[in-house]
Amino acid sequence: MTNETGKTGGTGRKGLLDWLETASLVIAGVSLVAVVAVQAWQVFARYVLNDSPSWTEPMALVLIAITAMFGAAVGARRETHFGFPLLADAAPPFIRGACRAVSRLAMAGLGAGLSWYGWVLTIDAWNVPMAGAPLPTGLRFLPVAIGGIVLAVFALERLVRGLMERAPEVAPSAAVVETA
Amino acid sequence: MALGVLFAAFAGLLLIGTPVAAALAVSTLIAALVLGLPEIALVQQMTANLSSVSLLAIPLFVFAGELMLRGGISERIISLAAALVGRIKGGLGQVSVVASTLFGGVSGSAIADVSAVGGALIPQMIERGYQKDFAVNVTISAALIALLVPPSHNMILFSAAAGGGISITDLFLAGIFPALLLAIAIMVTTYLVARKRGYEGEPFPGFPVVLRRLVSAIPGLLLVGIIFFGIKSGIFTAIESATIAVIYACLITVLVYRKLKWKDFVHAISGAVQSTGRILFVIGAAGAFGWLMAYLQAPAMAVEAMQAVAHDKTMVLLLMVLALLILGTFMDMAPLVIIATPIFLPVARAYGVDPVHFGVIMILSCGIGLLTPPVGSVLFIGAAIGKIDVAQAVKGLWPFYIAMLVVLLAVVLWPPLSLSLPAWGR
Repeated sequence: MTNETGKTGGTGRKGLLDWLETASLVIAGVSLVAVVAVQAWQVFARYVLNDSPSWTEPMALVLIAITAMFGAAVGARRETHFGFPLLADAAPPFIRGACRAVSRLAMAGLGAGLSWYGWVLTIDAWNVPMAGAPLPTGLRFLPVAIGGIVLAVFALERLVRGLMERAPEVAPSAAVVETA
Repeated sequence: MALGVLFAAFAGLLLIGTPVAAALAVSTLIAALVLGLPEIALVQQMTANLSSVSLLAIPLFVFAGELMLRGGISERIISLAAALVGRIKGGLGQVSVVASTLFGGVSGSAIADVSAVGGALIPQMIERGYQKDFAVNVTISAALIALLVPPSHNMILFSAAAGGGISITDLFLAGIFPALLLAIAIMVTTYLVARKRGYEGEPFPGFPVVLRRLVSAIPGLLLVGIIFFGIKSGIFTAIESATIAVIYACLITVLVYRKLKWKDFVHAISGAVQSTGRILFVIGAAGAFGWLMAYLQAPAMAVEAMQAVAHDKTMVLLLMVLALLILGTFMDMAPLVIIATPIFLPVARAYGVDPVHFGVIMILSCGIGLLTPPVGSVLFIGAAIGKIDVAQAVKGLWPFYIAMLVVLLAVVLWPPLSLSLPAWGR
């Protein structure tokens, strides 16, 4: 079930979603490094400049939400999220396929729901200033809105690929076209 | 009715292989729809938990652990452990226990521990003629020590799942004696198994070598002191201390050990963001699930149900330990801590159990689940490194299970083992 790389086919060529996955990793990684920088600044400012800035904590929370959502999106593509697939894996092929499809659909639905309501909350809270930082409160929900849609796209890709992989059981000719 | 729907949907989704985060969120949504609650409230709860101040330290400690794993700190710790205890019966097995204890003190993660120590020592043990199951079982058992010593991620997770009111410093202190007891118990078990199988110790390399290796390992080991005394003295918060850990790990591995290359750094970030995504996504979803459970008064019902069957503190603790051991066989540790804490902690509190004591019990009980099939990530990683079947590894694991259960019982029955250091610290 788990695909560690998530790369398309065996051609070695990167598809659009491979680029999206790389971009997600870069965004999440840069955010994580930025959290370190922001927190390091807090310590430096407090002990060296004798001036404890109030913006570091809300900023770190926005950044960590970016890391978490984009990291979770990559996890959806690589199917590395915590789970208990052993029972489903032991089931007959048809039931196993159905279980995986429902699981991926649930993941995609969760991503889409987070994205939709994330946008609603972003827009609702955009004009409210964030406590401690000169930023809109809506920014807290923006990573959920954007990361949610990326997660949904990756889960849907998995769903579609999973359904196509089982194609030989139904239509062998379609499988030939797919793997060619 | 809604509570039944919540748990039935969660269990159903989990059993068909749905990721825990999605199972938690979707089951919460279904139950919320039954109750007529607005869906947007669930997203608000998820977002609030996803970016909570008390959890900020976890991704940073995970990042620091990844850097140490790739930056040469673990290798020096293993060399030091080899010089210190390699001559005892079961030589490299004993080295694995001491190295895991020391590396656990800088990484705080059982997975990082088994990857770093196991990756180096399991192949060496097999090469020296130790049976594969012994090599794997010693290493994975010792990896649990990392769960109990600072900067244990799971302790921070427990504190956050408990609502943030439990001091992380107290939890860190509370785990130290149980961790040492666990290390001794595993060393004794290793000795007994090694004696039975005829594994001798390694030759003693001499005091100059011990001293040289100690000096080489000190920069890495200093990290545990910086983290611990930084938080304890109030100079840093837990989050700031995690930040210092990342910066210190970078400096040591790049400038002193000269092992961390740009490629390793990128891999460390990639590993850290994926772990962060996995952990925080479950925490977010569990936040919504926990919120609905509280709305439906599930923790109060759990207290009532427990009061009907258990009449004293020890009995209730033993029942909860049993439940956690069973749940731990098929659930990963992080989701189990997040889901079980809001239900079990109120029960423990109702019986007068100190929450810090309960935290140590919970971490150790759930930690044993990392070594039990069908879902035991540390067991799987160890078996993969040792290139043996999980079933083959488990066959020889029973002496170590016994050692761990004895330590768990000691922690449950003798609260001062966990509570004396936090009391002293205050």
